[in-house]
Amino acid sequence: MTSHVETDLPDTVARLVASATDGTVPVEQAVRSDQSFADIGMTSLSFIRLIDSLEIKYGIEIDLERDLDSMRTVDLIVKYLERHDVGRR
Amino acid sequence: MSLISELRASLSAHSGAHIIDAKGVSSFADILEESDRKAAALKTSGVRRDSRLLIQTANYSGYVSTLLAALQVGSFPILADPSLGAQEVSTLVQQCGIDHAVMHSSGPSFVALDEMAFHGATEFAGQRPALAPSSILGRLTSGSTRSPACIEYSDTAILNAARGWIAASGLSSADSSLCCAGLHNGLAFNTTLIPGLLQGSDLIFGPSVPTAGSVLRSIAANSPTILVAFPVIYEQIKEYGDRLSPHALSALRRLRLALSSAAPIDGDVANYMRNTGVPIADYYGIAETGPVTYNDGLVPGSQGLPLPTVEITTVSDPAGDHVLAIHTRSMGTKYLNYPGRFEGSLTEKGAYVTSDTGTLNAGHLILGRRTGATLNIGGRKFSAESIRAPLLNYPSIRDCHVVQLSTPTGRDCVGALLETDEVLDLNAVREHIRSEVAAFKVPEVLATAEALPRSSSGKVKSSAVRDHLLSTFTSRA
Repeated sequence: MTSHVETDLPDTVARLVASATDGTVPVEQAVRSDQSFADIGMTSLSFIRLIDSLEIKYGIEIDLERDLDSMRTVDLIVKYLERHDVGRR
Repeated sequence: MSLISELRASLSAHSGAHIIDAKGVSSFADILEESDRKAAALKTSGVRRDSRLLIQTANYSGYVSTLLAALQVGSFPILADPSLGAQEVSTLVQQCGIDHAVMHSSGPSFVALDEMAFHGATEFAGQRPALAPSSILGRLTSGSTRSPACIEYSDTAILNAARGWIAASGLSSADSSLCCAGLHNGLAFNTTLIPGLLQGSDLIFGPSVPTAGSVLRSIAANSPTILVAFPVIYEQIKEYGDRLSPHALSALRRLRLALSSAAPIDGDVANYMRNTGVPIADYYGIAETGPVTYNDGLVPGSQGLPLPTVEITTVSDPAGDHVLAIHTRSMGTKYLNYPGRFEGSLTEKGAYVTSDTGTLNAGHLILGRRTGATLNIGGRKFSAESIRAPLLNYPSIRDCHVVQLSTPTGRDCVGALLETDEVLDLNAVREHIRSEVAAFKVPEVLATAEALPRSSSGKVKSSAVRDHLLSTFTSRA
């Protein structure tokens, strides 16, 4: 059976980014930017909020000792989630 | 007895106690043996009794053996936040006369000290400020100075801080502390590292990026009796709400103490933790005085009772605010790199005049607000000037004003209004600041204006700057 990737996954992750930063990184910028979150103004405290919100929303455990580099942009997070079968239906 | 003698005697007496980090488990006996090896390595590389040794690494078991080795050699260790910017480290090295360093990254002539850190000589050469005769260790504060100030401490001050804390918290060899604060920080140093080593408590170093999820998993895996964490961790645990797994909830409830510090705990968060069965114990302390009060979590809104021998009074500062003046037996001696500044903040009786307003209510300290231009973001305190200076180095920024803001969800953050005639790439400005100062100081909210709002006397109006920066949230909505 073929699985389909949830097409709005990038948008959902970008909304979590905007929420974690209280909008200092807006949805549109989060989706479009290929710069790291730190480069577009996300602080370390907001990053903690983002990781927790991803864990809560998708019921996954993110090991930052191993997967930190997969958490630097929306695109990378989406790829990480897809690798973990999140967003497939 | 000196700090190093006390620590070595205690580690020998509690040789079976453990330090647990991401790499594994080390006994106190292992740590002692490792510290002997490192002391020899430091001596071989030229560290002497009068050396000043910067220790700038994250938490791991090797941090403890490195610190013991530095003290054993007789050098003056200076504990620094690993997130300090390169420019801040360079300034510190020159101002404090730091001739050797232990870091995660390798310098030109650095060699491996263990699997996580390198050590070697810095490029410092020249005259250096004198240490007080009793000083044996330095820690940093950025509360009121342009660059981090190094506070000198004596053996007695450090041991008094630890013993005061042990008495208040009842820390014993039956405890194991999960520490999610950096060991360079007063929260970890004064309540966990030194007291834990003296009492033979197990020390568990939490994840390097402590999200609530990873902290909860560490609690479930290690069953600590004490959690030491900044407010953001408790705020995030609350976000889990009823999605906490029964296993995590059960482990959380086995904590006998959940300790927070340095920034006020949100009332909803405090209530959530209390209802969960784990009230947050707050404490108040500042780098210059060491621990001041302790609240076991049962008196909401209070920073707690003064620790034994601590004296708290209030005095009027130059602006007419009634600020706390604190005398402890764990006070620092002076700032190594800002001569006279510490001494200038003491009353005639030797109490340190803080920037915090507050009152004593039935003996309990109720903190008010902070005066002056000190910012407090998630428990990290630093001066607005420490950000203003590097901002002004950026091309085409004529002037700027840095303030602390609350985001629409009530989170504290740093904002800066930049006076310029140019259209600035604000991400490039952030990148510039990040190369100069620690990441947590980089302004989250940046905006530009052709002119800063000023009063008729020419003074920048902070409230107007704050309004301008807050309007950027509205425009994003």
